Amino acid sequence: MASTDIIIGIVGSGGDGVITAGEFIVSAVSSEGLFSFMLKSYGAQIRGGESSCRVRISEQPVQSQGDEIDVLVNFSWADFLKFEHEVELREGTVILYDEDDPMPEDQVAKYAALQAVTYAIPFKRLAKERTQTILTKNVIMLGVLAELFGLPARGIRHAIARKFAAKPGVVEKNIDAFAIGQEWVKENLEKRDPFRLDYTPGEPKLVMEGNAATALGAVVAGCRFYAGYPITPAGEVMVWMAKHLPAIGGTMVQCEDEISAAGMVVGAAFGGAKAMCATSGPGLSLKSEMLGLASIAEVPIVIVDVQRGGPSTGIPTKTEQSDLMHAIYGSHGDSPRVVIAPTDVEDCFDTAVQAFDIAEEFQIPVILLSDQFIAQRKETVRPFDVSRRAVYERVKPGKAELNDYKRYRLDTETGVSPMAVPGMPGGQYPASGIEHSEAGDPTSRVDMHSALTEKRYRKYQHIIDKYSFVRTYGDEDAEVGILGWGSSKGAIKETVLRLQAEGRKVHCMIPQLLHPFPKEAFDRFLAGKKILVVVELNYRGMFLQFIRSRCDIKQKIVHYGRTGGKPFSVREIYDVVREVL
Amino acid sequence: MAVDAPKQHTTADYRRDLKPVWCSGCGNYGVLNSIYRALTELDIPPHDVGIISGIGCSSRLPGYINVYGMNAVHGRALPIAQGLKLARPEITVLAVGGDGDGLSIGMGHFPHAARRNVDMTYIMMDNRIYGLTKGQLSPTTPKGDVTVTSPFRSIDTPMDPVKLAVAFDTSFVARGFAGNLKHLTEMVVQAIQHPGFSFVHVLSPCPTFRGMDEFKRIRDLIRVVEVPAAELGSRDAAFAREDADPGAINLGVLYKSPRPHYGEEAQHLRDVSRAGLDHEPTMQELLQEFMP
Repeated sequence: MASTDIIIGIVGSGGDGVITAGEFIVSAVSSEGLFSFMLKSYGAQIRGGESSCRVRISEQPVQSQGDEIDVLVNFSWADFLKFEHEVELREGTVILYDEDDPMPEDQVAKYAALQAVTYAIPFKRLAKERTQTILTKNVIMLGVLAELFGLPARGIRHAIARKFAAKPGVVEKNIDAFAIGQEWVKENLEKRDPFRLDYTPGEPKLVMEGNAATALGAVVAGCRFYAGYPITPAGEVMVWMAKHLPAIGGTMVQCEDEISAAGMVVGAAFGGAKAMCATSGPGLSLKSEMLGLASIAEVPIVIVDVQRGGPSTGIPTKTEQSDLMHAIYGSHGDSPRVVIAPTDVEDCFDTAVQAFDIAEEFQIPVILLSDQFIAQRKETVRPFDVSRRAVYERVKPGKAELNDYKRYRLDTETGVSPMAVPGMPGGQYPASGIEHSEAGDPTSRVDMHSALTEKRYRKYQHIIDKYSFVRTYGDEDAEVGILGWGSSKGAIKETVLRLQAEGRKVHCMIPQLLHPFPKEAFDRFLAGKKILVVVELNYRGMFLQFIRSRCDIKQKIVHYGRTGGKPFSVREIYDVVREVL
Repeated sequence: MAVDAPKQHTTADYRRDLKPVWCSGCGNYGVLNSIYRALTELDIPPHDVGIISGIGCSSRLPGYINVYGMNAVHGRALPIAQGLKLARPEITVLAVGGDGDGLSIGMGHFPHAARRNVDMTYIMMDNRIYGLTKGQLSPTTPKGDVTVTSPFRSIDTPMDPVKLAVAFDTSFVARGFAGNLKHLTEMVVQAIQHPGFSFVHVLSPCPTFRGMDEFKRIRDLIRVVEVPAAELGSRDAAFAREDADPGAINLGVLYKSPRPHYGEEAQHLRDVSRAGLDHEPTMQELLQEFMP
């Protein structure tokens, strides 16, 4: 059976090189023009402990991590059993394991029932005997996979050479190890499974993780100041900025805490720079006060929140969509802000650009609500245009206006008043977290508080008018509609495509702008629907509550929400929708 | 200091037409005046100055000065000021605030600002009390003092901001007194001129909550010291000087630890990261990094 869509899982202990092997596969297939999608999963250990990855490879663009694993490489049964709930195997799955670590007696019946095809392979022994180190075990395994399943050998060798370019001896050793794996299969193994990747090579594509895509989008939008504090799973944004900002004339500061990082960003943005910080849930909690300041002082800042399992420390290494309420409402007082959510890796780039456009144009804090599922997975992305379409700069006061400059002028249509920046003669003003007059002077007058609050909220309608991007898939006139947001898009979209292929009518909408709420787009979507399936990766049903607070929903609602840790599979969403379709 | 060149600005250029909320007799008037005078003496155009504050009586100061100001969040003047300076190195940046703002809620930022050594000035107006919230004990309130939150007496040991700054290896540490405007102005001028993070601890009495005789009490304790240049870099000497006479308060430049400031180091990183390149990387080149 030729496969055009294959899912490989690899499980082992830290040091087995599980993740590196997965990255080699992604790199190899992307260089051959295929699409791929790689998820990593770790235990909480810093080094060592169990780790796993799954790589989906396809000739067509992939929307999600897919369903069950076709091929499992299992370096350690003990580690595999810890991931059992995350690594679901299909009927007839292929399992490769080390001959040193045979299948435990109590598991035999289970895999027999699955009709699994198993191969015991001497990964460790080959590595020791033929390369004098067990470090090459993962690359020998890749040689086995390439030979057995038709993974692109040339691409894997290229990936190895690139990864170890700085260590010449290591390149040769690993290229040899790869060949050892291939040869061993040729000489010793009789193929008993049907999987073989079949594809036509195409133009090479990019390999990105969401966090790097977010960082790249930010600098393309003009961000030249980044302040951060280490936190999982947002760390890669800061690492990317540290590596690249200096060369393009920017500054990356690692701060003493999350509050300081947000404060630095407010200060830099007050100074006229496009500035950003990235964090995760606990960090967003700490930044709430700065968010309020940016809101009332009308300072354009971008805060990326890479959501993880919460509350408190929660599950820092795994995904969840449970910061929605915090992002929208988390601050004291009436504090307007914008919340947008990327839906996949490439979208991290686009939404980062948009976040700056909105922040600068409307002088308002923007929260980019990413999550671990998008942020840390590797995905093949078609090369895209990084030359800016248009760069939005904040409105600055003209000469005439500076004669009697009022920073917080009320009489503007959009609520946006021209913002002077330090260095501009005549533009001096006090910005403040205290309520203020049009000129910026502190005031406790109730009429000013009312007028200024209304001014700050006046921006909302204009933001909605300009930035109400929503994505819809499927048949507009379907009676069943699916609503979801952020990283759930992949599984939802693939579900819709699968249902359509079966001749069933279904429609879905994924808004990018979550807050302010694009009500018209929702109302348009709701019109004609009889049943709504609302999908989100949190227990409380935050998205559903939020929509309900804004729309008069008459439809029957099927809510599918669960705690995170594991992203939605297509099968899961499909089954929910099929119940009502 | 180019004191002989004709000045382009007078103190009037820095005044802002807003009446301070401070009580009559408040030390903060002296500090505000010293900043007007220092900026005039340094002849820095008002639009090239940024003053950031936290929350508290003293943190109202940015509203009274005709520069780019921000009265921000309690305890967070330092991060905001550093962000401003790093994004706009050509702007003269000051952070101002009180003892509660800087040593209590915002204390976490002080050692890191010193360590980072961004080229800016931090003026701490120390009145040894929370004034805006009406008289609670602060981190510098002397032990034994009666306040509304220590109605029997304070049992908390006070901090000495200068000793802390020295311990943090702050690259410039000075102390002034709101009642000695000439000397305080000189301290602020030197602090702004210092390339790196400079700290000026100002005794700024609160007559309302610490009594009308606070000015006189401090005046009797202060002594202006001229620390010999050779001794300025010694932490031991700085601590010994502070501890020598518990009845005396030293005014003057008390410690210096000159070293490259953060902006210079950041520029160095830019140069290093561009080594071997004949141009700034383009966005297209950054994208190419993702090619397998």
